[in-house]
Amino acid sequence: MNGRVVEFEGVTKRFGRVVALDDLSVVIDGKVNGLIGPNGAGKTTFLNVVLGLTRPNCGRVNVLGLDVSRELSKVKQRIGVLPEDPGFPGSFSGEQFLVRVARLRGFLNPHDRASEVLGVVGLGEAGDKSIRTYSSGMYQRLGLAQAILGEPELIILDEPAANLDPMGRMDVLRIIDSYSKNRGIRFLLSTHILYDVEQVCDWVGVMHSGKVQAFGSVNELVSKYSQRTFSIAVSDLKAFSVALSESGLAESWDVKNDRILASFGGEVDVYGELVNLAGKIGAKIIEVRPLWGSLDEVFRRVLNSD
Amino acid sequence: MAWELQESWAFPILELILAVTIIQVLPFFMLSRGDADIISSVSMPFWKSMAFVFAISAAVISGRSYGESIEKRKMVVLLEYPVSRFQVFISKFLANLLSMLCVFGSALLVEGILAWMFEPTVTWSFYQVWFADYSIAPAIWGFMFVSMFLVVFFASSLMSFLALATKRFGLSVLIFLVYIFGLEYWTETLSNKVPEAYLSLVQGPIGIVNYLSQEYFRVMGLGKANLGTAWPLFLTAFSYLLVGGIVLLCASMVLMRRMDLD
Repeated sequence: MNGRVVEFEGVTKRFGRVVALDDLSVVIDGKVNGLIGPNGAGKTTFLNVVLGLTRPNCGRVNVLGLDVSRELSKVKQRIGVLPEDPGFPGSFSGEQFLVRVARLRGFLNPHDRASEVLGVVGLGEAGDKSIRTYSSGMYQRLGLAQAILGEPELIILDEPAANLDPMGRMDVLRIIDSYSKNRGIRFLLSTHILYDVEQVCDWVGVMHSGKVQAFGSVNELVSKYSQRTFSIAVSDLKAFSVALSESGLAESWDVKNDRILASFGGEVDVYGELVNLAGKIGAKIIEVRPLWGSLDEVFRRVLNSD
Repeated sequence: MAWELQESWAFPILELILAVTIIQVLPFFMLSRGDADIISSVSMPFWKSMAFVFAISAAVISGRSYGESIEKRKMVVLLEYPVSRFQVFISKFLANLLSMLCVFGSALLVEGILAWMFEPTVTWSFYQVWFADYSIAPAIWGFMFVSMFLVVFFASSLMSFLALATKRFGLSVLIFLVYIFGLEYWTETLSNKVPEAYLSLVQGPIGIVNYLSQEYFRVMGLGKANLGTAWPLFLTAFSYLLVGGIVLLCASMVLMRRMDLD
């Protein structure tokens, strides 16, 4: 499934003097999209605006090609949501709750559908228990169940791995991956856990101060924002090290295990310059391998550059 | 609405019914059975004892439904499904209204059964209605129910508005109680006559019952019930609907047009 998931155009949202979204324009068009950012960056406000829970002061918001301000009911029919810190009715059993949700979503056999999604999230045996007796992990799984229940085109997850143990987190990532690849469902998730984003997201936006400061695929962000470090294998290690040092190409370099580990600035054409340098001293480049940085590094750099 | 009703009945409704019944049988009957005016002797003690129970119940049930729902992020969950804000608002309101009418209706039933079972000298609120002249007792019972509905409607509307405007359960209950008790104090100390007692939970329902009874007496040819001037009594009854309706409209506008849920 192609097309834009979410499109913001000049969206501003103020809460009194606090500017939560600052003239924000961004297009999100990946299959699994992740929003990361520090507390107060505007991620939850962003999602609330997408869901029509919060109305922007100005700007235009489209979700799956629909204008949120005018076609909210159509948007809601096509999305599933796990909000942050959701309040599910404690007096219901898990299954009763999901049956009600299935009815709201127009399923003809709500009981069957409720049982099915309970099984998917690993709550099959706890379906008849009262929600108020659920542990925080079970509660979060129930939230995931009600989000996927409607077989939506887009699932929005706000901190989906919150309160989950490592196995629970892996299950959530597995479900996201499976639903994305097998059913073509698209995801937009907001999280603090960068590892999860690296694992499943093909589009990442880094939010800070009400703006999406950087976005793209994980590889694009890493190559743009993290230090560009390469592992270089060369036929004449000693001569090449001296030449590299004298050329001033690398910002820093070191020799480890018969390889040169060198970091370059963003403007340097690494491969071309290294081949030229090797040619000048009569050496031969055996291998140049990029050592990618992590999303943590991107996150730090984007925030520091602001 | 089924969702809301299930949530409402998870509330300790049975305990509330018992509390209402206990309050009713407490011996603070204001008028004796020997009063010449059977209608006043029925409606006055009932409302003297029940008005605040209604007020507090309306505050708790409606405040919980809206204010607590926002605080505990149940409203957020509801609004993410394909339902409009208006649907959520009206479903909650109707479910609250129905729950309250069930609670108070149950209390009336319990009281009636107790009155039938025990010695009729016990001074219970509905004693007179139960044993009143067969020709007017059902009518008075009906008038009482109508006035109860109007008061519950008004109290529920007001509380819904306060809960949505403040987004806080505790704060909205506090404002509601200050308003209700302040108004009762004012109507009790400065004036206890209609039309000054519009929207009073004690004075208002008495006016409604009196007005309906007066009309009933006139239409049925039972003679003239000397209960006051018809127009102010009508205004008293109408004020609950009018003001309650306006407040309800304001409450729906707060949720549909102005409220950001975060």
